[in-house]
Amino acid sequence: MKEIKLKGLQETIYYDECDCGLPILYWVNEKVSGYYMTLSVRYGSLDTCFRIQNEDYEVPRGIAHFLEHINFHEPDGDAQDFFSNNGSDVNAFTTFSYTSYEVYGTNYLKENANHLLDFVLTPCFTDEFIDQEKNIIIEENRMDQDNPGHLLYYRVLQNLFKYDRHREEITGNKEDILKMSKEDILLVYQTFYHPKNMFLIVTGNVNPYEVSTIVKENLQKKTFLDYTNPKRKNKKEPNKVVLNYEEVPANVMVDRLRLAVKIPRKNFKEKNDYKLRLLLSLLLGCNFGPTSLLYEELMNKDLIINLGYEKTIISDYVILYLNAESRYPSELLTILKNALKHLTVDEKTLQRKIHALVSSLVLGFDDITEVNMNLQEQMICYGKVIDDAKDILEHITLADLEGCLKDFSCKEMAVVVLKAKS
Amino acid sequence: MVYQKYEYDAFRVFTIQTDQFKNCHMEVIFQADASEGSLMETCFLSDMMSYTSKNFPTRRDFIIRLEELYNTYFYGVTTKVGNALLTNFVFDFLDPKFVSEENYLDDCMSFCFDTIMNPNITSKSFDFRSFQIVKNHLKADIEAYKENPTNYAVRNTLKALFPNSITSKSVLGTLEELEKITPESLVLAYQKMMKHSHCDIYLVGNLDMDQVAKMILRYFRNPVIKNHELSVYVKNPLLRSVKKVCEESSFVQSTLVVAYQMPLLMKKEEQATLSVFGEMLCGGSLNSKLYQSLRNEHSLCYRIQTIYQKFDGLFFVVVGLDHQNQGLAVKLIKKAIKEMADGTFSDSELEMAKKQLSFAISMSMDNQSSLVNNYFFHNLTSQSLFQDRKEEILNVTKNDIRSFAKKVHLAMVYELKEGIHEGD
Repeated sequence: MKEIKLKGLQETIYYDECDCGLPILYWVNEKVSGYYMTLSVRYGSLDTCFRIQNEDYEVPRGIAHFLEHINFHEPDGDAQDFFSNNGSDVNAFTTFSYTSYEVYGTNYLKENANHLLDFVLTPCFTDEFIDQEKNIIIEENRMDQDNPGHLLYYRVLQNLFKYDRHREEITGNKEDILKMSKEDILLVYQTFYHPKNMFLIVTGNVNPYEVSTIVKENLQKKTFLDYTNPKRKNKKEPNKVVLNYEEVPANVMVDRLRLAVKIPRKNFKEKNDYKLRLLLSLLLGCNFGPTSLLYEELMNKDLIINLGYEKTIISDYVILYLNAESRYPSELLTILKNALKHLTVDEKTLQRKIHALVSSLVLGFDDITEVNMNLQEQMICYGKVIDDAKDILEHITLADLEGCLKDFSCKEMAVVVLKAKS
Repeated sequence: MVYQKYEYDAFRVFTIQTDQFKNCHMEVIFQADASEGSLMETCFLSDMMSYTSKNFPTRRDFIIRLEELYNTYFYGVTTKVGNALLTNFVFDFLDPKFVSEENYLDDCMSFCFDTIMNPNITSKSFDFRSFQIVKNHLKADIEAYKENPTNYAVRNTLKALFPNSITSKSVLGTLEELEKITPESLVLAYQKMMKHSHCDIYLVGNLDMDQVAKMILRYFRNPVIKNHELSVYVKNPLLRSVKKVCEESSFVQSTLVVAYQMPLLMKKEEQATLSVFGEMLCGGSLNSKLYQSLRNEHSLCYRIQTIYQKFDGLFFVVVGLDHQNQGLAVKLIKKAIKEMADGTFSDSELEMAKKQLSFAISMSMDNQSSLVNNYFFHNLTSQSLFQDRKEEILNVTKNDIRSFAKKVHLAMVYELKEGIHEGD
């Protein structure tokens, strides 16, 4: 067991690895009553085309999410039964990049850990279960269609990317769902659900040594084939966006605007993805957050009801988003586009924002879910625990931000406006 | 955890001292009778009071101050629970042990109570610019309920059930109500709230609570003493026949709301049986009766929600589904409740529900907002504190569930019917 000290935060992450290749991470908080355990597979909705030993495979869109649903089936019932009987909670979710099975509990740690490993790593797929699940997921997809936020999110991705599979819904659409077959599901399961392609994270009131013993004993009883190291196949994405501007009639009462800027990752000289994300957050916060002069002006002129920002790195691109509810979206859009060309930052604001982010970093350790989710993100995005987050943050200088600004370009933008139906 | 109470002439301070969190969580809660005065105006007022203040007169100034105080959060929220209208000012700040500034705690308390005591009022009128911005937000919020099929359907179910009762009144009122509110009328509403609403302060954190209570007394200079009783219970008449409403919509999916009345709850029913019944019927896990039946056996839906308004004597089952499955879903919901009334459920179902609730209570004890909520309702309605609630849940018997299920009464079936879409 390795101890990873989080510099300046007085927190420790324990790291262990099983013989079969499964990494385990722990964060201990003895003051809480519960624990949160997540078993994640690096297999998400993006991975529908892959190559194993010179052979290419293509499976239906939405299969990662479909597999997540039916993986709960067990020969004598449903994994839910076991956890509910223990007074614990089990669930799962699928993202673009990974699938995670999660258990919350306050006791029965050994039993729950064993059963989590057992049900996730023991496939039990039947045609009957698969058919039964199809309509449930179709209804889940229909529910999403009634969410304007969901519609706007995917519409922008579809207009940003020509080939990248972020443009496709995680659940797949109705046609995709109806195509699911046992053969494809088994193929995906056998290819990706391997300890070497997974990680376990346990946060809360646990003893890491005790859990590691339980997990190792469990996995020693299981046999795993060699990991085939499948290669994800992706088409080269052009720098250009698919569509610059689109208006979509939607069930909204006030127009909603989402503006996305697509910048090749390689344009930025900052090579550390974690630091780049921080720099972009600070830049957007200083220029579009509620303490910016622009935000104040837009509010005062009634041009926005709200304005938010996000940043992400998708494949080879940095994507920046501005989101707003506005009764005057075209006027707002002109102002936002102009503001993106004139981003600024000053020392006083920067120091205040850093101060605030450090506080959030400290407070994040009040919540076992937040710590677990942050570790998941770090394992997926960086393949390791970021142990110097506070250091990186506190050492950001105005020069770093100015450097980032020089690399910044808003040449490629995709804007979608959800128009209120009159 | 150490629970303490400090009684002052005009307000009370309830504290929970614990070293479990790095955050300190404080709620200043004003309580009034929902049937007196305008809900919309109270909602507007709490938004105004947490948007700016006399000393931080623009939103930008206000947020900059929060960031300077280590990214503290301050917001106001108005809710209606039964007949109680609650206005909570929520303030989250870092445990002073983690900051170097000696006066940090003092600065936090000063900011919070200054915001409440010195709103952005000049010449008997709230600041007009802030007023307009908050009004715009509220207008968008009022309109937005039509964007969410569940909110829309539940609100319309309530209106159809009890059009004239406080039960169907929403804190976010109508655009007409909003238009009647002025910067001047909000000042009167503010004065009324300070003069007539009960006020309690709740605080969770690792602080010297004696010291903080004195600090609150120093900063919260509200001398008005209020003594009237506040009841949360709403007595709606028992409906004799089942109402049926079907409304057309443009949503992709239909939303079904099945409303039940729960007349005259006994203390045990209100405190424990209802929770166990709810967990068995449609708790968080997929093992509950409705998930088993509607989702697992018949593949009718992805999500089922139950919404309990126990002080209004109501609960709702809400399902998103295909219109053609609506009839079957209603039949299955009725069947599940009848089975509970007949006692057609196993001991293990009952035990599983109790374990689930006990687990949920334990997890809630790790959450500061839940701790405050529990302490507040303990004081308002004699609901047991978390520690005792676990015991009460364990004491619920099969007979308790049967008797309770026999009492619930189907009041309404409401459907928000999906529109016709491309590809249908």
